Amino acid sequence: MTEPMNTVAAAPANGEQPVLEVRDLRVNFASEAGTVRAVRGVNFDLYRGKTLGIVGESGSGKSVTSMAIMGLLDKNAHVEGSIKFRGDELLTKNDKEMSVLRGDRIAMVFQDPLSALTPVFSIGEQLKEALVIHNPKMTEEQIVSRSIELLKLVGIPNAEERLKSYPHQFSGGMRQRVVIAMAIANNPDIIICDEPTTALDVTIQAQVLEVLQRAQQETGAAVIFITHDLGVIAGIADDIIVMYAGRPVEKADVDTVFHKPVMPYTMGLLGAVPRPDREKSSRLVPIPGAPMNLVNMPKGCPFAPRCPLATDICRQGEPDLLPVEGREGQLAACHRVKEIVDQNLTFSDIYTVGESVKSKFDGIPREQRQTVLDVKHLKKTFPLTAGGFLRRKIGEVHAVDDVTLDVREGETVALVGESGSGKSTTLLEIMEFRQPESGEISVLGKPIAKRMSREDKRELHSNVQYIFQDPMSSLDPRLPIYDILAEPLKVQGLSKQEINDRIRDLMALVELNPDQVDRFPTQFSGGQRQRIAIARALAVNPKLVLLDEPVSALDVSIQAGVINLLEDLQNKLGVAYLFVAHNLSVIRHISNRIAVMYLGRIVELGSNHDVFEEPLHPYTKALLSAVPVPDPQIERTRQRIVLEGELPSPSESFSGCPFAGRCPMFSTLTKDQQARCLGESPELVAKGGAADHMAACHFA
Amino acid sequence: MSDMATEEKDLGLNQDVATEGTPAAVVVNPVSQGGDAQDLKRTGRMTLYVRRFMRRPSAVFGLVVLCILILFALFGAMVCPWKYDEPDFTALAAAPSADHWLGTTIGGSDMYAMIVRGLGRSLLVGIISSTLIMIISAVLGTAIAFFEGVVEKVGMWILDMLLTIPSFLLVAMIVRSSSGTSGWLWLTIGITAFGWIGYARVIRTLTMSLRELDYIRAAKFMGVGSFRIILRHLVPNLGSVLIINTVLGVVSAVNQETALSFLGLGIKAPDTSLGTLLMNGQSSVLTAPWILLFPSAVLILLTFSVQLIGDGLRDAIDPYSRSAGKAE
Repeated sequence: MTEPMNTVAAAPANGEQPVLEVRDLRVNFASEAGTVRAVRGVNFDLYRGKTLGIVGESGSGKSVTSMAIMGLLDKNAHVEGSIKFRGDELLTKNDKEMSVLRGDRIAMVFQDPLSALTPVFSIGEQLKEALVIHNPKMTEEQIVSRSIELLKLVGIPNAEERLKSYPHQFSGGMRQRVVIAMAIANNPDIIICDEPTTALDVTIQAQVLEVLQRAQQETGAAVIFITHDLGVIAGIADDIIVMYAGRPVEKADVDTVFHKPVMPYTMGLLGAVPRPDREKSSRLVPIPGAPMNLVNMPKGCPFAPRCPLATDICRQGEPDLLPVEGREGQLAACHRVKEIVDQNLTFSDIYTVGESVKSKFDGIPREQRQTVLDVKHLKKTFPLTAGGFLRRKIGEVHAVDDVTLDVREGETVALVGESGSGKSTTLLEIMEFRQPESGEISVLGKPIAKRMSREDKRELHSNVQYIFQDPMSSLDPRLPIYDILAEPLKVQGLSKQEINDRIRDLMALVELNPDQVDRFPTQFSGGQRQRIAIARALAVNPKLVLLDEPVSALDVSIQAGVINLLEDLQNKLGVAYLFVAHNLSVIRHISNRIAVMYLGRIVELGSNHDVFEEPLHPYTKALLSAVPVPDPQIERTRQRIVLEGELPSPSESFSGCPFAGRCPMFSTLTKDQQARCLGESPELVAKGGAADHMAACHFA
Repeated sequence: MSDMATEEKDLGLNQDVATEGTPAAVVVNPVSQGGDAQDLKRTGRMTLYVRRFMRRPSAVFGLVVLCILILFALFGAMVCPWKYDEPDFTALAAAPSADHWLGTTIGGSDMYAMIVRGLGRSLLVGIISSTLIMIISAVLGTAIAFFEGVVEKVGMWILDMLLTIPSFLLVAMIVRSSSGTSGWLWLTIGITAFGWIGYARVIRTLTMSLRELDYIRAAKFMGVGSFRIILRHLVPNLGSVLIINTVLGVVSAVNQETALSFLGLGIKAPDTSLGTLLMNGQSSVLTAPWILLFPSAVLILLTFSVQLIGDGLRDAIDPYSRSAGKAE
């Protein structure tokens, strides 16, 4: 392939040399099915002080690119092309030569801070290791002072004492700060961040992104920021490469990519994400089809099978990444660029939005609908036991602390909160069908009692179903789809013929081909598997479905399709959803009512509009301000309420408001008011305009 | 049993070789608008395992050797004029010759016929007891882990108690009281009765991580009965571990059989096994070495080949193994 060499993002005017030049990078892997072409021709230049964002769905080759730069690819990978660091070719270096550069000139921040630090060494020792390997002459004093300096830079309080702490004594966000400190320890020229905030909560994500930006300013390093989250990248990147099927398909500065995308895939990606800052106006638009398999790729543009604009040219030859005429510094790989630019086609011109189904309960006010689930003062504690023989109980974890909420027919109630706030535990407690420790759970008006007959239990199972987060693990890999779908029906005692008919209907309901029932789950893509899981949950016509992060394991382009399906099914069947998610954009799109949880308690409860537009509780306000918005202009100008510190341990008991320690409003209060926050636990009561908008705060 | 700890990682299998299927072409299904239907040309799981297994020369070698040994045990007697229970009193402790291909024992039995018979008995005992052990330990091990709470506590306590029983001695006593012809059956029962305990413990550990998986939880949430969950979801998903353990279990069962017989506590004349032959041979190593040499060679070939197959299977079934070949 004749790759034009001018495929370089706008070079700085002052003629500065790039720190990293990547030319025609190709990476192949061996697999049973044949050679996987994971990266197929990546070109870019990286300049000091700049941040290059690489966006793409899973399997687009973004992480493989970064690993190739670090020289960390597996032995069965075959790398071609050229990666030059300050004019020095990296691909010909052996592992020993690369080790000199790694951690010193090129540093990496990984996704999972839990596994990036060794648990048996203290933070100080691990920082020392990072420093000493590349500076063997450093004295003990220099090491300590540099370590403290680094920890202070990344915002770890009490740096001197914390040096002696071990990774398990830090929370996830703090650990990621330590990882960043280690990455910048030797003032590297390049920092590669591979999904550095994906494993973190939004409020922590906001903190860590800030630390990363500070670290970049401090070291002047160039940053490669890899993510699938368009919201995160909008706020942090200067230039963006959008990757699809191992190739860059669009490259431009951040504003151009977000406001004037040219490649239909980029448009689709941007259109498929729900926006946290806008009220739901219409259905989401999924990109049809599934990502390309990288083995035996057909000729032509890899996006052609999913592209609404695809013509015969697109299916015959793969387009090169070429500069877009009339757009400074924008490159795109699309045969139809000229038409798109000339006619100024946008997302809504290219993708068609399907009509949504009218809800069964449209027009019936909430008060007149039947209550499907009624939870009153639910509590769940886990005992904390001391080690040793006797397992003495030394405390309690209040996982769910006095939760009251109700779900009515045909509506979606969302539970939102950071990890550890007790939202999943609440779902599991309901699903156990046991009388709770304290409080009451009623389904369709019938309270769950201590002893229930077999018949009652069976009826409960037919009324309430559950959908898991990860469709990979929620379907038994050894059973064909038919048997998976038949399982809940058999429990309900249906006959063979009834089961057969029902399964055919179910497959059609979730828009899958009914002929595929004999396949195994591994033969389906992630989106299809989640559809199967949805079909299984709906098999017995439940009145209520509990969903635990049902779309968070899916790629954005697939996610939209599943969200639409959930909405349609709700409207068609009138089923109620109790939805747990940490992604506020999805919640904004799908839910009618929202309950914000903090440390096992509901701190705010209200309609979608009220909670997002007029949040009452300071925690809700902070949470909403931390959500990244996929729009670079908004990202640059918006004010974040960055919460101090981390979620306290749920084993602590509070006599007052559990949020007081992190509350941004707390410091603005008078002494008397503060005393009330610390001494008196706030009740969830109606505040603000609407009668059903409640908050648990004394001064909201 | 020491090699079973390494099997822990095999649990990854549940997520399995999904990524290695080969959808040849992606066809957009017009029915589903968010749909992602694919026309799949898929490498089946079995084909995949066979291909991976065949990539290991040592495993293939082991398989060939084992097949030859099994054929030898089944049909070897047909080509020999002598029977194992018909001693030739004209040739006592004779060296290998045209008449007696592998020589004779001190009692005049033909070594070739004895080895065919002994190998057959040893294999029979090994395969039957190993299979029984796996079935018992799979069901009990998963059940103990699945029910958690009191059942798990009591179950583990019983297992721990059973482990302390001097099983070798008990098996010896059981077999001693049996007659010559049914001795091998009692030996099989004895080995099985005390062999499953350790495996059940290992399977319980493996199930502990399996029971936390979402599809087990999903089945519980749908109201599927406990016993069904164990048989339909837990045991099949331990399948690869069970297969590997059964194959390797043959080696340890054969070894146990040989050890008991060698000490004179296992299979007794007129029946014979590899261990009995070894015991007979050890007294005349210097005067008639063939009596010891040939059975030991067969025993070594047997255990060695099964071990090679076990290693090959583990590599073929393990999704994290490096047997995927090389990239162009």
